[in-house]
Amino acid sequence: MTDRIKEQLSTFLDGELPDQETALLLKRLERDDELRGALSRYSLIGAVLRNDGAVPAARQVAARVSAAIAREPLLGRVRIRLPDRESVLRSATGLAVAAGVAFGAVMLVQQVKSQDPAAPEPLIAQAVVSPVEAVSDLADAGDGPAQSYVTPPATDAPDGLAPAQLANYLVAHYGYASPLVRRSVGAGLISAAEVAVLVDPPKEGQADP
Amino acid sequence: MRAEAGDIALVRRVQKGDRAAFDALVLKYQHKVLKLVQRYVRNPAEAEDIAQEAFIKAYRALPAFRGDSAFYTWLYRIAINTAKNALVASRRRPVSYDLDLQDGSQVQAQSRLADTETPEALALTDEIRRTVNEAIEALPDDLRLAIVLRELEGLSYEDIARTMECPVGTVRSRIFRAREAIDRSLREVFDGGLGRIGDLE
Repeated sequence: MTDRIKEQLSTFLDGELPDQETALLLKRLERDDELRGALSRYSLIGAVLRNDGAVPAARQVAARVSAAIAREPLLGRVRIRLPDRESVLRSATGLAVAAGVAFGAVMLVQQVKSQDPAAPEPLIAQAVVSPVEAVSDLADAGDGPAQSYVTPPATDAPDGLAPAQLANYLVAHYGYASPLVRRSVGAGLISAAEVAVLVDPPKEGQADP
Repeated sequence: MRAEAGDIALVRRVQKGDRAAFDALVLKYQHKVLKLVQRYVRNPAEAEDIAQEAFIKAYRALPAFRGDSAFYTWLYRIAINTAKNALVASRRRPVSYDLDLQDGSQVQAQSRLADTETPEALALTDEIRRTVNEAIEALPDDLRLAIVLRELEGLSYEDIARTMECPVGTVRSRIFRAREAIDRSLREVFDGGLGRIGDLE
């Protein structure tokens, strides 16, 4: 270690060393224990003069910190891990299906709400089956897919038909919907069923099953 | 202040991935940080652990350091918080009462060498202090004035050059020669009796 390098070290300690020289000195510091010792002692001299340093206890702090920092990731070179292509595609597909189901449900509800009693029955309403037919459909279904999951109310209560249709449609497509859509649509169905019950209360003499 | 600008330059290097720059900051401030921590934790080994932890926390937090304050002021707060947390963890009361200062430089003036260490540490402290003071007294006037203006008054090289009416290069050389003369005496102390020079990195 030459006097020129030690003079650089002294100047560096005071923050007066030009950037280019600092870069070279730091490289040298990295591999030269003697130079590191000199920097620590120069710093110690200042601390003693100012009476603001713990003199004898500074044994291994720098060495231990240096070893610990060596195990840390380099600052400024930390890479953010992006999700892989497959998981992005999977998420996008699920989202698209859920959005499609939700859109369909909204359109259906709007159609029912705007339905004019005098207008001809929409095509979808023709698929409505009577309770008896629905039960028989389920009984005959065997291993095939169920045609109806919710028994529609009596046919003389047209307001209750659409929610039943909607329920069947949605239950059939539940597997494709996101949990959020399931919850919100499910809540809508429950409230629609309540409305249907209020509109068409059970007749006297009918016992609950 | 020039020294603070130098620290900020080092911080920028660390932020770009230069670990050696952080090593340099640790070497520069380890004595001060340790002294600070020892106001809370008297056990030297425990204080070293806390100082080490403070430096590591500082390293991890450096990406968020913008340089609005001096590096040491920032480091000082981290060290204080680390020491306080260690005290809370061990459910002990701090031994210091007025360290919630915002400016680390205020503490510098109040600091004194810890008097609660082992006999060996106390002996070393006294020896170092005596050696440094004697070495300062033995310096030629121009070297002594240069190092005092730098270390005690905190003047920049340019201000010292103006005060001493000499070129900045001469100031640089004088300060180095003063440090080197004191360091020679220090090394004799470490090599001679107490044999701790290897420890003082």
